[in-house]
Amino acid sequence: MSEAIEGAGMGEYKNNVIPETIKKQVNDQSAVVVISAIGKNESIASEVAVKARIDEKDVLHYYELLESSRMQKNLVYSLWFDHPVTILVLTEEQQFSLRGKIYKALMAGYEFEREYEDILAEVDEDADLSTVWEIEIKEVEEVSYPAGRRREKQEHPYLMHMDHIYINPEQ
Amino acid sequence: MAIKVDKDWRKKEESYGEIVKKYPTISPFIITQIDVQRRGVEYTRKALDQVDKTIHQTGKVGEADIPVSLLLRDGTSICTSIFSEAGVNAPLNQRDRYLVDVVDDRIVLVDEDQVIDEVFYWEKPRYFDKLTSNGTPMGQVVDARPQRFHINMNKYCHFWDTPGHGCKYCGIGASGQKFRGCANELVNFDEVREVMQEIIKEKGRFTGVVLTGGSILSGDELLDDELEGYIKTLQAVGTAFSTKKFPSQVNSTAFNERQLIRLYEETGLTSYTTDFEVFDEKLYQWICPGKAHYLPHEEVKKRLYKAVEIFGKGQVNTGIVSGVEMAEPQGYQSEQEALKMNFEFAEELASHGVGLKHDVWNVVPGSIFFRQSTPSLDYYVHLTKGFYEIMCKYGISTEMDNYRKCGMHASINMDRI
Ligand code: SF4
Repeated sequence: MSEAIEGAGMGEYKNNVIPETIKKQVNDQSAVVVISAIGKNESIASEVAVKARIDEKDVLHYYELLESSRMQKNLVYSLWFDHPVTILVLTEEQQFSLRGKIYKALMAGYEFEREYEDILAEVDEDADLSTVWEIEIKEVEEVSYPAGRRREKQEHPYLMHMDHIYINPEQ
Repeated sequence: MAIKVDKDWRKKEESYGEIVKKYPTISPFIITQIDVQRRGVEYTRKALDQVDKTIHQTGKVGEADIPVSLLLRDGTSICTSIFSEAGVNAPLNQRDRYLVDVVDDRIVLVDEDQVIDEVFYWEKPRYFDKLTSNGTPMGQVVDARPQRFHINMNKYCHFWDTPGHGCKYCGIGASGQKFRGCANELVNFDEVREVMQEIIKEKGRFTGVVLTGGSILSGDELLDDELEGYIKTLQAVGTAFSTKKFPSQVNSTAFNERQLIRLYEETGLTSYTTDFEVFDEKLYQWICPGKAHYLPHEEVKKRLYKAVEIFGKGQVNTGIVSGVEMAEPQGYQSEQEALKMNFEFAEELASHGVGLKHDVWNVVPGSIFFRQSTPSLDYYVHLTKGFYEIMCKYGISTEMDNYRKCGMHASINMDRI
């Protein structure tokens, strides 16, 4: 685990632990969070989160504000039929892909009401909150291009156009 | 233990696991909801130790504070009934209940030592234990589920005034007798107004209100007094809203056109239900004799179609107590035949814009049908699927009665995806 975390800074990260820097940027809302989920009839929906946060147990909380949205329906579908969801976390320096399993749809009770009041304060009084989706993160992978390119060269050295290894005719 | 379990019942029908496999497009959460409503639950000591009366919505059974119901991980409410362990007229020929237990610090549903899923107890609204100026606990004036509040406008049903006129599956006759003719038979409208002032402090809690109650047959015209009761209650509820209309449903005895227009125009009501209870006309006459006497099958249908004209398509539905159509001796003997009848009639209603919903029949102690047994889980899942498909075919929105506003209707819950 510690190797993986060290590796994160080097763009080599693939594990099930979310790097602290990513957590921090999701929680202070400086990262962009994009969630994708499959739904009925194999429809796929992607949406930029109005709000997301990662708690101390590495559970990602995704706030869906629209009850009738395609994303809300797809998240219900993914929970009902046990499909994974994907979350892209985009910071200025890095991009991470998180693969998660939905644990719970929080939509009633005292905890939900606290979240609801926070949304009204943070977004605007006209906002509603449908559900806080609690997603257990099972896999984390850095998907920034430089990291991916380095990984591809290491793991698949013969997947390329050959001009990368031709001799230089001008030399 | 009030119910008597048929020890061979598992051999006679497909199991929960088999039904989940048989219907891969139906959510296992919905199948769980149906089966738990059908079979009921019991709580282990460990599960009851997790109950906190200051947080959870509970009811008394003997000395114990039992959670009134459960929530699943997807937010589905399971409305289980908590009956006192009455020895008299207790249901017979029933199935084992599900067990609510604690495993690895989580509250779970268990059947035959298998954990089915995690469940959560309902948290009660903050107004519940406050008192009205008359000293009534507010939770007794306005009841609640996790995301809706509801008012029992009238605690007694006057079909029971005439011997043999009450619905045969209904337990209200026995339990409501004590309210008959009492000052508190009707809800107190001033108290409703007071509770509404507390409800508006709870942001994020409620998505709708439902009003229902026992039938009141009196008035200048049949049901006029019942109509007055709903209008006054809705007007009291309406004092809390800044808009004329608010998400609301009345589930009443079938009003005529004039009454429906008054209900729509004089209140903030947005949607209307009158329950058919049983779709088969002959069985309606046998099972709901009082209703059938005053409101024949054809008349209920006509009134529902009028309601669609007044409230709009998607704002009117009707319910059945699904399973009573198989009650002995006059009911259907084959589940297939009963389903066929239900789908044919449902299709006729839906083609006129009437939405469908079904409650899962739970044999009620003290009801005339207390010796009956409910159909198989397969029957209920098939019915759920069929009702949902008919609603889709006729493009009828489910929003008036969705999983937040009610939660009891499995076919409507299918619309979440
Ligand atoms: S109408 Fe029938 S089911 Fe409803 S309360 Fe009266 S007797 Fe019971």
